[in-house]
Amino acid sequence: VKKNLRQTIMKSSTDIESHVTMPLTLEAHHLAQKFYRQHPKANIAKRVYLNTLAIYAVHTYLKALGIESQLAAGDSWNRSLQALSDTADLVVSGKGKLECRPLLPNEDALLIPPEVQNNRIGYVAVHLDSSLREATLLGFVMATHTESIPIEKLLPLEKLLMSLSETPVKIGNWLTGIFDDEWQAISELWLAKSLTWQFRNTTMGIEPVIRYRVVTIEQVNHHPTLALIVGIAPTQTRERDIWIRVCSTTEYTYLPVNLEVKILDSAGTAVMQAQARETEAIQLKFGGQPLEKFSVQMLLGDHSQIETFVI
Amino acid sequence: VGNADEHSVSFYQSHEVRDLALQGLFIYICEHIHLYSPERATVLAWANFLLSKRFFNEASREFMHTAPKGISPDFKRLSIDDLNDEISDESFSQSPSSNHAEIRQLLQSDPENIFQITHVRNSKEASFQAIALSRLEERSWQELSEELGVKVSTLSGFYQTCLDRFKPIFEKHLNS
Repeated sequence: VKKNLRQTIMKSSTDIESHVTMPLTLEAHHLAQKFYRQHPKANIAKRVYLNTLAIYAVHTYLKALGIESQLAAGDSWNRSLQALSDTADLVVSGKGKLECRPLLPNEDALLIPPEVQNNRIGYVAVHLDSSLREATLLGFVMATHTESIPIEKLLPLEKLLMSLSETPVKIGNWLTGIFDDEWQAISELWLAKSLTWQFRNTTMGIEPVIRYRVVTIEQVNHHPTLALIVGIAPTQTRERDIWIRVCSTTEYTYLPVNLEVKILDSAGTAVMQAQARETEAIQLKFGGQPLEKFSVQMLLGDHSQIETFVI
Repeated sequence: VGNADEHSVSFYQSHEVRDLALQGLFIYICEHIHLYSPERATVLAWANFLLSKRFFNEASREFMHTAPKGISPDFKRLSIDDLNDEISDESFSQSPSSNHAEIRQLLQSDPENIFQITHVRNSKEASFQAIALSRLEERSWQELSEELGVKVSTLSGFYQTCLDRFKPIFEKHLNS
């Protein structure tokens, strides 16, 4: 047995840069079988079994890296939704939902069912061996509207981890004058001019605190840079008014066509969204309580950029 | 541990213990990599030391502990072949609490009077109720799209939003 172990360690340490292999423990199978037995239709039962293992593997992996995720919070842990939707979602605390898609030994593409193509921060490809003893995390893609993604197009997991381990921007602190360096005061006159009236209608007539940062959305041929502008103002209650505005960094420029901006709550559910046609800016306004988390997701084609905030 | 195969712990069980031990080891290494001192041993020797001196014992204890409690000792994992074989094996799905029938019943009875009236804009036939019932019967998105004359992405996006919105209704009526 010891010799075996040593080989396993050596094997995994050589692969460690590209892929990560996680054991599928008895506990994982036990959970999977509990769900499995609730579904009389063989295809659905099998799908639920494999999805559960994939989710479990990603959950364990994130846990090892100190990233908290909540198994039971997802649709995939609800027996009705398991039957109604091919979902393998995993709620990553304060970030949103990761979709953990199982790949079987003979499959060489990540398949994304139409019913889970929205409201995900990413799709992780989880390869399962035929004995279902091991799961290998192959990589991931961000938001997508494609049903099938070849393995060689997957992005390395490190990129996902980087975005998941980013700490949320504490905009509640802005009201007391504390800012992170990357969030700048609006300096360009034209940006400021359009904002002074856009963000004005606060309940108390207090000027909101406004900061922005530049966001680049990676595209094949071009990399449009956008300004993500965030405003926050107190109200008469504990609630804060919050403005989110996305516009181009150059004056008189439309946003990229089909750019989508979504506000996600802490469970990763889109609570507001807007899409650019021939638009110079997208603006959303909402309210939130101190310590509440939300994310702003900007999607264009297969790429997405997400920024998480805590009020 | 080295003699596990010959003694009370079966090979099958030792495999489980090994998986548990490795999982514990990986998590430990991730969290405590700063405790590694290169002048004392190679990484591999350190990892093997931790494994044999600590995680194997912990995992054995955990396995012996959880096996009788939460997981029955004759619990068996399924492999992909097992999952495919089960398709013809009616006996396995031990009268599965008729989850499927309950969901269909809930969709049809529409107790909160919302499943039928919620539909894709300008397409009354494409109601949440109709889509959900079709999905439950495993009809493909393509087929549905042709039948209802609505694009797959429109249908599936609408459906996903509805599931989010109606999740509490399912939880309330089917205590999942």
